[in-house]
Amino acid sequence: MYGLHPALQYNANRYCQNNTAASDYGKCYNPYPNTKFIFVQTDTTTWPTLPCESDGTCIRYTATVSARSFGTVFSYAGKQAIITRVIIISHSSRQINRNVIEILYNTIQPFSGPYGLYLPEYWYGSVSDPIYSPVSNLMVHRSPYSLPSGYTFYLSWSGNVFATSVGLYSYEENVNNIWYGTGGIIYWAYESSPLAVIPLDYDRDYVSYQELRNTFGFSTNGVDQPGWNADDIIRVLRELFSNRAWAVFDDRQYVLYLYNLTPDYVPDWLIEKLSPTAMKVIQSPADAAVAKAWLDLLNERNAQIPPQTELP
Amino acid sequence: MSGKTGKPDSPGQPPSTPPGKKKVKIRKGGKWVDVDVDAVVVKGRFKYVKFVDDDGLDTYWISPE
Repeated sequence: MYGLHPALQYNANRYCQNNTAASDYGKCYNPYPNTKFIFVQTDTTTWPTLPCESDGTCIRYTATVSARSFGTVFSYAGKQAIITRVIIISHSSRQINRNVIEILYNTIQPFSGPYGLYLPEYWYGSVSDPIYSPVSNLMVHRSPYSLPSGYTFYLSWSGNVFATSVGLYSYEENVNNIWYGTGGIIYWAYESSPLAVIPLDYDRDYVSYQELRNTFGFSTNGVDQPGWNADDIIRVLRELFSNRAWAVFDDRQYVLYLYNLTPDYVPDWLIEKLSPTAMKVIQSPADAAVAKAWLDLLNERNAQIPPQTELP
Repeated sequence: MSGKTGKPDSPGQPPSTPPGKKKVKIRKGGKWVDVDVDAVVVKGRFKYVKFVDDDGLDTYWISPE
């Protein structure tokens, strides 16, 4: 947040003065607590220090840029998040032609454009405000509130989009002597993807098989399990397959949980594949045949990998 | 729980630690911690040390050696 809180309504008293003829030039007023406005002024000869710099109400930049980066919201190497909601508000000294905070790079295709944008561009706002795009479910109000100083902007979007990383940019378009305050809320779910390692036997376990499918079926794309963690999977498997052997791999902690199994029954190829930092035995095998059945089925279904021959 | 036998320890008694157990430092939760090793298990290219973790579960942690 920079000067504004996205959950609060616009306040006419939160602004900066960028009229160079004004006696209070360079002052910023009432930024949201613990935040600062952005102020761009390149002339450090005339204004070595702005009043808002001195009193800590702004962050001053002395170079203009086309797009100013405010860093990365998240970045998951080899993983993706599902973004579900974006709210952005801003209050700026100039009319906003593009989303003031424009998010998003490295969104997956087909959303990636030159900047990996997925939110519609400013021309959606060239007709009349408010703008609603039924295709992307994007709502934009430019100047929903008329304030004595500056322009206001509101953007709301909800839906589902995948991204491995998200960055925040503000499009200043190389304009000098501007100020803005902005705030945003981004909701996302990180795909933790714990693995249930249990060869399913449709014929033998029809009911529990169906229950498992139904339980795991609630996901955006039917494959990923955003919001699930290893404990969730373990609880479900305990309910459905209490008498079978299974393993759950927590891909965030890199822990392989073993149920009715010990590491003796875990084939080396699975260890090579998952590289767990630790293995934890939730329950030792009451019956070695159950553990052996798990290993045999696993090897059978991964027949291209040489089965482990030595067993205790 | 005793990691060696899998049987619960007597209530009120401290967990038994057989003398002469090898201590190993493992990297856990971003910290180095000492654990009493019950056994060493080799799986493929990986070597794990066995001990009873704080959650009471038999745990095989990748060996730092």
